[in-house]
Amino acid sequence: MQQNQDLNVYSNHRILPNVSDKEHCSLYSILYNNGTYPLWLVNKFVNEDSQSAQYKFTVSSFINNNKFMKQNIKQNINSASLDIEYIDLTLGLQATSLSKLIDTKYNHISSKEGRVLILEQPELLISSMEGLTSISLYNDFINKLHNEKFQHIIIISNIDYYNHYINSFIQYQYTTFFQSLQYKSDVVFTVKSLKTGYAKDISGTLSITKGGALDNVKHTNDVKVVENEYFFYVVKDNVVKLFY
Amino acid sequence: MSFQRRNQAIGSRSDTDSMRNISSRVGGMSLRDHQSPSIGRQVPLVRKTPEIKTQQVNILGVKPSVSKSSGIQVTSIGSATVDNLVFKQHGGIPVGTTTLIKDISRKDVKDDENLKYLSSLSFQNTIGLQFIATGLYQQRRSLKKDITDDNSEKIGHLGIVVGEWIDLHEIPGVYISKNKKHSSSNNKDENESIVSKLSEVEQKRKDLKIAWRYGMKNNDSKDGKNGELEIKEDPNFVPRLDIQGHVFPAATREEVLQININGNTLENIFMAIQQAITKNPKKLIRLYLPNFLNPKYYPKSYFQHHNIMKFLNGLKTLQSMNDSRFVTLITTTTDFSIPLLETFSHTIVELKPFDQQTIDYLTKNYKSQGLPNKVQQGMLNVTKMAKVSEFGHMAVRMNEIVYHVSKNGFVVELWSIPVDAGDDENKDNKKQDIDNKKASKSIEPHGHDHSNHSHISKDLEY
Repeated sequence: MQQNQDLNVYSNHRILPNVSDKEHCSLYSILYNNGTYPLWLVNKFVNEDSQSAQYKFTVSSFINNNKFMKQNIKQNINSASLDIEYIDLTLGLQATSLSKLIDTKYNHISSKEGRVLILEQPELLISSMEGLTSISLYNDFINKLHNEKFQHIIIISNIDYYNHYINSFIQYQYTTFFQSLQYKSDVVFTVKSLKTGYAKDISGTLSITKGGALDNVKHTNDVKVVENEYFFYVVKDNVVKLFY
Repeated sequence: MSFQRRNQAIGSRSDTDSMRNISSRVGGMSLRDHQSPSIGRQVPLVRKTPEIKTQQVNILGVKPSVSKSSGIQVTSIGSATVDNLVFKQHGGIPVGTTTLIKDISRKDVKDDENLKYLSSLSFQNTIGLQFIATGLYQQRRSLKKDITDDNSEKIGHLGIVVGEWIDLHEIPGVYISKNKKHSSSNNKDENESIVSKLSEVEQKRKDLKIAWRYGMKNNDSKDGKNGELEIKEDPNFVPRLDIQGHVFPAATREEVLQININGNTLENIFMAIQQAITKNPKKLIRLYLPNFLNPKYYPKSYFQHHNIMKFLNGLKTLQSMNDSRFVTLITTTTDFSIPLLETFSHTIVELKPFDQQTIDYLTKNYKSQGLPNKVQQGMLNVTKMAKVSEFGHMAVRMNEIVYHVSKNGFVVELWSIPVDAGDDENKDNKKQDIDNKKASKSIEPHGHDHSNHSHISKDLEY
C-alpha cells in the first residue's frame, strides 16, 4: 500500500491561511474537470487544519442545493466542533442583479473576521445573467463579498468551460474568468482525473501551485506555499488518501 | 370535557404514540372519560390506513440500487445491457437524476453531403424511445389487475417527450417470442446503417459450411462467456423490447405527454412539465428531451444562454423537489453540447461511432468468425456517473464499452478486439462467397439453420 501523505499547503504545515492577521485576505481556487468532484478536498480544509475551529465557514453553491452540501461538507466526528453555515444559491441563478443577490443572501453577515466562504461555480452567473462580464462578476460579486463579508474565499470551479477557441461573447467571459481567477488567487488547487481512464487504486491527481496574488510580504516568518503534486484515491465517501 | 378530548384526538391523528400518551394519562380518570378518546381514536385510524399505504406503494420498475449505500432507487433506461454495464454501480438510472447522452458526430464520412450531425440521430432516438417504452410498459402493467397480488397500490410511469418530431407511434413494443414476420418497410430507417450490410454478410455466411463449423464453435464459447457475465433479464424491471415492432395500442396522452417545440418557449415548456408533475402526484416521471437544442428542430428563439440556464436550473430544482420519482434523459450532439448541459446532468454518456475503416475491419473479422451480428458501431464513454461522481469517486470509463443497435434495441458490451482473420483466408472466403451467392438464396431461413448447426457442433464435440 502507498504511504498516506498529509495535505500541506503552507510551509508551516497549515492548510488554511492565517486568520490571526486581520489585514490578511486570501483567495483559494479549486479547479476540477468532469468526473472529479472535489468536495473531499474542501472537507480536508474544513477538518484537517489544526486550527479550523477558529474559522467560521459558509458554504454556498450555485449548482448543488443545501441538502446535498450538508450531506457532503461536514465535520468529522472526532474533530472539535466547527461553525458551518449553509446558504443555498441554486435559485440565485434566477436572479437579475448581483447586488440584490448579495443583499438577500448575505445580509446577516456583518463582520468578516475569520469567515471563510466556500463558493461553488460562481461563473455560472455569466450564463444566467444577460450580458454579465467576468469583470463585473469579480467587481460586483466576488470582490464585494471579499471586502465586506469574508476574510477568505475558496472558489470551486469546473474548468470544462475553459476553451482556447473563443467564438462567442460568453466563451470569452468564461475564459477570462478562469484566467483572472488564477492571477487573483493565492493558491491554486487543480484536481484532474487520470487521462488514461479508470484505475483501481488511483482516482486522479491533485496539484498545488502558488497563484498570482500570493505576496510573500504579507506572510510573516517566511511562510511559503509548498508546491506539490499528489495522487489521490477516494476510498469511501469523504475518506481520501493522498500519496506520491 | 369528553367532547374536548375527542377534538384533541382528531387533531393529533397523525401520531398514535401521542394518542397513547393521552389515553394512558386519561387512564386514571373515570370510565366514561376513558372511552371517549378511544372512540375519537377510531376515526383517525380509519383515515390513517391510506396514509400508510401511500408509503408502501411501490412504483413499478423501480428497485434499490446494487450499490450498498442505502436509499438510492433505480429504474431502467430500457435496455438491460446498458443498465448493467454503463450504470453498473447502480444497475439502472438512479431516480432523481439527469442523464445526458452525447453523440459525437461522424465527421469522417466525407462522401455524405448532409451534415452528419443533423442526420445521424438514430442512436440517440433508439435509446430514448426505449426509455419511454419502458415507462409505457410499466404504466400498462400498473393498470392490470392480476399483478396486484397484495393490497398495496401499484403506481405506473408517465412519459414526457419534448419535441414533436418524435413519433409516438414508433415507440417500440414488447418483444413477443413467437417469430412474427416483420415487414421490410420497417427496416427503412436503418438502411443507411451497417445493419443492411450485415444481413448480406449473413447470407453469404450460411453456405460456407467449413467456416460455419468454426464459427459455431466460437459462437458457443462466446455465449458461455456472456453467460458468465450473466445479465439477468427481469421482466418486472425491464421489458425485452422489439424495436422493429410498435407498441399496440398506441400511447395515449395520459401515458406519454408530448410537448411541442414550435411556437413555444423554454419557460412554457417548463411550466407544462411542472403541471404534468403536479397532476400526477405519485407516478414516476420520465422526461425525455431528444436532440436538445439541435438547430434542426429548435427555432432560433431557444438559443439564448440565460434562458437555457434558467430552464436547466428550474429543471434541477424541480427534480430535487421530486427526487423520489423523476428521471430525465437528454440526448444531444456534442457539436452543440454546451458545458452548461454537462454541469446540470448527473450522468454523462458519450457515444463515439467508429470510423468506416474500423467498421470494415470488424465486419471482416466477425464475418470470418461467423458472428456478423456482433459488429459494434462505436465506443461508449462514461465521464460522469450519478450518485458516484458527486461523492468524488472515480467513475470515468473510457474505451471500455461498445454499443450497437440490434433487433432488441440498443445493446452494449465490453470491448474486445476480435481475432484477426488472415488476409489470405479472407480472399478465399470472398471468392467462395461470390461462387455460392446464387445458391444461398434457396437455403432455409437463418434461425433454423443456426439451430441445426449448433446441434451438429455439439455432436462433434462430444
